[in-house]
Amino acid sequence: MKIVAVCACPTGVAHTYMAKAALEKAAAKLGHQIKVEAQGALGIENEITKEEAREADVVLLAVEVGIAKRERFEGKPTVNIPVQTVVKSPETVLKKIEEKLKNR
Amino acid sequence: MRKIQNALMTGVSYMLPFIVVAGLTIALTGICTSYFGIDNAVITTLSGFGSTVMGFIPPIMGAYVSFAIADKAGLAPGFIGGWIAQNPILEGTDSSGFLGAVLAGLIAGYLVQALKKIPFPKVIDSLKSMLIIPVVSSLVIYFLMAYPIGFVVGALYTAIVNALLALAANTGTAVILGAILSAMCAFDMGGPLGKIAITFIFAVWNEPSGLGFLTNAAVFPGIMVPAISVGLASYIAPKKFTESERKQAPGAIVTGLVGIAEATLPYAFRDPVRVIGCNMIGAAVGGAMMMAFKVSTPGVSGIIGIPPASNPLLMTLCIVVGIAISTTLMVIVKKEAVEKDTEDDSIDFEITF
Repeated sequence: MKIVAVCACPTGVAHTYMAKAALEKAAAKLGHQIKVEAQGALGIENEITKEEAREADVVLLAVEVGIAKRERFEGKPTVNIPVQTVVKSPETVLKKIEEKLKNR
Repeated sequence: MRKIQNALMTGVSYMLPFIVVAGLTIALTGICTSYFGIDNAVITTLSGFGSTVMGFIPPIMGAYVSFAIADKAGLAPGFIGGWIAQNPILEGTDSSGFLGAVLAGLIAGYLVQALKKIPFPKVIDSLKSMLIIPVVSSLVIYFLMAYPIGFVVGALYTAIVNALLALAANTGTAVILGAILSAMCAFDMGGPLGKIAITFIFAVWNEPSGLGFLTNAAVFPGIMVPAISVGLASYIAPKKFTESERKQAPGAIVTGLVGIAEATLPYAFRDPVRVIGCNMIGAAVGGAMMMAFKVSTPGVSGIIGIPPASNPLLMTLCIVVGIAISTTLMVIVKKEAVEKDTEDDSIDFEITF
């Protein structure tokens, strides 16, 4: 799968980056292509471009706050889950997304 | 409900830098005056400016609550509503403060969303986003905030603050208040429940009575105890922690010292009941002691918030007692660690296409 993901937690100093690292590690292990954007305390890092958003199979929003530039993902298959879930079970999340996309 | 929670968290998230700047400015000027006896015009003006920054908090809260619901178009009415909440327009109405700002943000957000849905002829469509939505929503918010909300919420806010002041004034109830607030922060380590406690403190932050600084000190154990305790416990009882937990211990202690509780999360995921349970008990005791001793501080961020406290030594004592209790309990109740996968495969969610 080609995944684009955005991580954002209320404080934007810890959870956001833990989720980003967890997703990148899990995707590498499961053989998925992923780009994770962090919207932390300092703003957007590793920004997902419009092209990257368009090419992705799925958009994963691990967010607990309103995020900036949401319009990039309009019309894409989107998963919205709490940041904590991604930090705790990144591989399960990715596996379930793959399963759900297949069974659609 | 999730949408509203998300909006509130967004508001808190954008408000944090202002709280930190205002808090630290007041804290630093306080240190200059009380520790070094510097009391000149520069310090007085700077301290006053800290209070001005504090006044930005309700408008920013209103603006970003609304932004989370209605995107960019929500900013103006949310900001305006938040400002009115802080500075009541009508004579005789009370400031509805933070509470009013949250309401303003929610109303502004949903109002703008509703306005966006009204169909307009194609030719004047650009007018709709440039002119009609901002002006109409802001005017509606102005009248709502100035009149009904100014009266009702203003009075309600004053009543809440007075009730809390009464709770804080009586040592018996103050102790319970401190214990609960502190335990809430220790419960989910930077998560929603702790943010509710913090939000409550920010709500009374600029109370002239000092209630904000008092409750602020009470949550320090809740914020600092968890990460420091798991770190210390993994040195004292290494067998009860996994290899990766032991490796994270120094980091956990340092982040705990500067007031970031999130470092506790990996420990809590693996053994939630024991880790969170011990931390909540330690934090509650620390918070209760803090209120019992009436320690207050305008500072934030762990140890950086201790020097400006009304009594830094007592404050340190309260936190250390909390850590000692939590660490000891953890060393006693935790079981030997078994290395295993901690992923939870029962999670579920929907994909929206």
